[in-house]
Amino acid sequence: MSERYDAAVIGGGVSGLAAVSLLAKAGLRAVLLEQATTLSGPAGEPALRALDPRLVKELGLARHGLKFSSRDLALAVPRSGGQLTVLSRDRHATARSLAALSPVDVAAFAAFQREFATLARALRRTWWEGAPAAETAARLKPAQHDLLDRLTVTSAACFLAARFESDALKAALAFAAAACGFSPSEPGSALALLWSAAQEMCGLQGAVAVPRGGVGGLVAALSQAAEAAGATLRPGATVSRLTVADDRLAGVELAAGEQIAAPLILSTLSRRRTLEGLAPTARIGLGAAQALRRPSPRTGCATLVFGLNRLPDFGGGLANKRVVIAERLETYEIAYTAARLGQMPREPVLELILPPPQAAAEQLSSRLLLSVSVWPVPLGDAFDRDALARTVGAMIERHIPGFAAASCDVLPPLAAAPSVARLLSGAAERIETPIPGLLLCGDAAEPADAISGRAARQAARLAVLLHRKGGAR
Amino acid sequence: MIRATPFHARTAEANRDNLWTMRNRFTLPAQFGEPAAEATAARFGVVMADISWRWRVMLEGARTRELVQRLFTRDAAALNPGQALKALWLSDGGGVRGAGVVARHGRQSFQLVAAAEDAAWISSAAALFGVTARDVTEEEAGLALIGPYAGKLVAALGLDAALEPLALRKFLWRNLEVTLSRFGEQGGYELWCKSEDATLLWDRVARAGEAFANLPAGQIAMDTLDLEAGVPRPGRDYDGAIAADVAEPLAGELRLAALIDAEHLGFNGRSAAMAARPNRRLVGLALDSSVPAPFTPVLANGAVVGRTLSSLYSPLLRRAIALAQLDEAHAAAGTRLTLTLPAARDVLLPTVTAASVVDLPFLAPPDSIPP
Repeated sequence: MSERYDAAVIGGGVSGLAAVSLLAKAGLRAVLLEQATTLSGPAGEPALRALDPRLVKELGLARHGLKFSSRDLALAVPRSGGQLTVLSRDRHATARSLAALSPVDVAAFAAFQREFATLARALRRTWWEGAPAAETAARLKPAQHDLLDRLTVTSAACFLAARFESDALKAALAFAAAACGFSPSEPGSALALLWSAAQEMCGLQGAVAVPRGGVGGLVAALSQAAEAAGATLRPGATVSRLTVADDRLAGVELAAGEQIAAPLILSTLSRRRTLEGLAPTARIGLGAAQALRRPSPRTGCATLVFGLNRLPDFGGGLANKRVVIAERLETYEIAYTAARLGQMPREPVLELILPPPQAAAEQLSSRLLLSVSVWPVPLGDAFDRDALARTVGAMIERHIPGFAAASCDVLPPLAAAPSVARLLSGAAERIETPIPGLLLCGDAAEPADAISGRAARQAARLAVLLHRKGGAR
Repeated sequence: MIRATPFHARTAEANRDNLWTMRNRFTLPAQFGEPAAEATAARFGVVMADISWRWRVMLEGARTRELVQRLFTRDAAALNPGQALKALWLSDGGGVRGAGVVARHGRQSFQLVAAAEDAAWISSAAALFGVTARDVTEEEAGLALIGPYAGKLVAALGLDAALEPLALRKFLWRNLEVTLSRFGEQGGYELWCKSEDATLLWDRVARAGEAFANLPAGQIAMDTLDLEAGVPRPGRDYDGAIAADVAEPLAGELRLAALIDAEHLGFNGRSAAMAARPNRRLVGLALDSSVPAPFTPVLANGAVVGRTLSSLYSPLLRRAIALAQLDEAHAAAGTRLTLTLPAARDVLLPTVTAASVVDLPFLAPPDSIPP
């Protein structure tokens, strides 16, 4: 006897939980099927850059325990001589700090931020609401339209090099492109800078925030919201395939053989894993299947979690900041070249998330964890954990004197496969599949690689519409 | 990169005028002597032609039957080993990507022989079914024997010529592993052997062929035969649907609709191909003048009703003939239409010329004289 639901969500994590909560909230009987025995987000990732504010509001995540230990991490750029340039929301402080780096860049940075913030907000129609980019672009002013056109073909490195003088500033700003998975020298990676400027955390545009308890804290809040909405959560349920009856999606079959009936299925897996791994072969055109078989990415991002016994001396100013360690734009290029050739880069680009002192102190009661994202690393056999831990440890020590880690945990690297086409696509293109009733709602359905939950919200909205249409028939 | 066929040593020797052409990245003699004489010999005697340029791929694996059922527009899985059929493969949108002969070699092994390469499509489809798609184009040499005396020549070679059309048989022939097949549109036979044995095969056929006044035929003569048979060729008369969701060209507009089996379920692009309603038709044009350029507009009462495709002078019909795609309304045999030929080297002004529509084929393939 099989269980019946209105919709099934494959895969837990932020996207899956968000989708199932929204579906349940809209009155659908929804079930979440997660392979792992616990529902958790990606380990190690402490900061959020692109969490969907509407998702937070609709699900009332604050009521369900989502708290932030830092709402807006300032971007800190270490300079030679142990000094810091800090780019914060305080315009005057930022100008003072930048002036020491390059007086010319003070005005250039202010102009850049103004121009980008406005255009980025206009692009939210595409990146938040899912309208195709061509439609959004048609509403822009001519000057903005030109800038957008330029961004879609320019590399972040070229774009920044033409605007700023200081190497350190260029390298620090280029990190936004790297965080979306782009190499800053890739054509079109400048668009990723705009994408990150369009994001909002805790009501602040372009902010990077740290939830209390990391992404785990967010997942806990989402789980609570899902349960409150009446969704069924089933960890430890591995989906083996989708079932089809009478030419229609019927539901899923679990590895244990159990059948779950659901006419709507939302998958957090990638398009390829969903369609090739789960859907019956005959349901997809050979051409569509071929399009799924793009060469797999060769570079990605690694996350290292250092366990610290004592609070390092954050140089007084380092707390409550994210520190990007990248000397020049060439640093990226050299590192990406090595990673693409399958070598461990000798000097990768690092981002350290340093929480505010009180959060650090809270954590220290157990053990202070410092999480470092490393871009780029080669994937597959070329990925060498020990070499990476040594390289990164030495690099951090150079910038934070007295840094001594008691332990270092290297998490498996995540592949990055960004594309300009994906950034410019409408939500329908990313979410819908050739199989009616099967929708994608995971990170792969987002315009860029980030924890966001926006695709989940859009997919859930579409699923609810489909459900109502089906009910009327 | 230009490739030479395994017969290159022999064809280069026989190619007196040193005129070459390209097929599927292979260099081949355009003609050995007089193209008209070669085409005529194929009608009344026998010619041998190098067909090693044809793209061939072996499909092997446990799920090959599922693959060929999904890939091709006719049910190749129903063939017995040693049998073959002509079929198309379509894009998701129902457009023709390619046409070829699918031959069953064994229980789980099929071979595709086609005039144009489509390796990316076939191999990615094969990968979906865990089937290996091995390109054997350069591993084997192929020699076509065309003409009424082809059967007699095969018998004179000491091979059993009693073979149905669209069938193949393997022989160990005087210490040479050969495959004899009958896939060609012009009737006749094909002999396939390993690449390293190619010159030996050529010499044996040439020696046995002396009794039948056998000639080697170049690509111009082969094109003449194709055109007289009304066979559209990919790359020359149409471009295969390159993108996945493209709905053109339609099989019905290329006179290939017979290669789609409506009873065969589940092949790629089926629903789109079945729903498509072609409004153009592939016909022959018999021209009153010289050969028009490809894609010359064809007019009826001053309005464009279609375009020509490849065209040639047919030595047997003693006039220029062309394939053309015309609107249904003007495609009936006997319709008189006009074409404007552009000014040429020795003609000052564009010439207006007439042509009449002819049902295809212009000429049926030559009947084989029983061996």
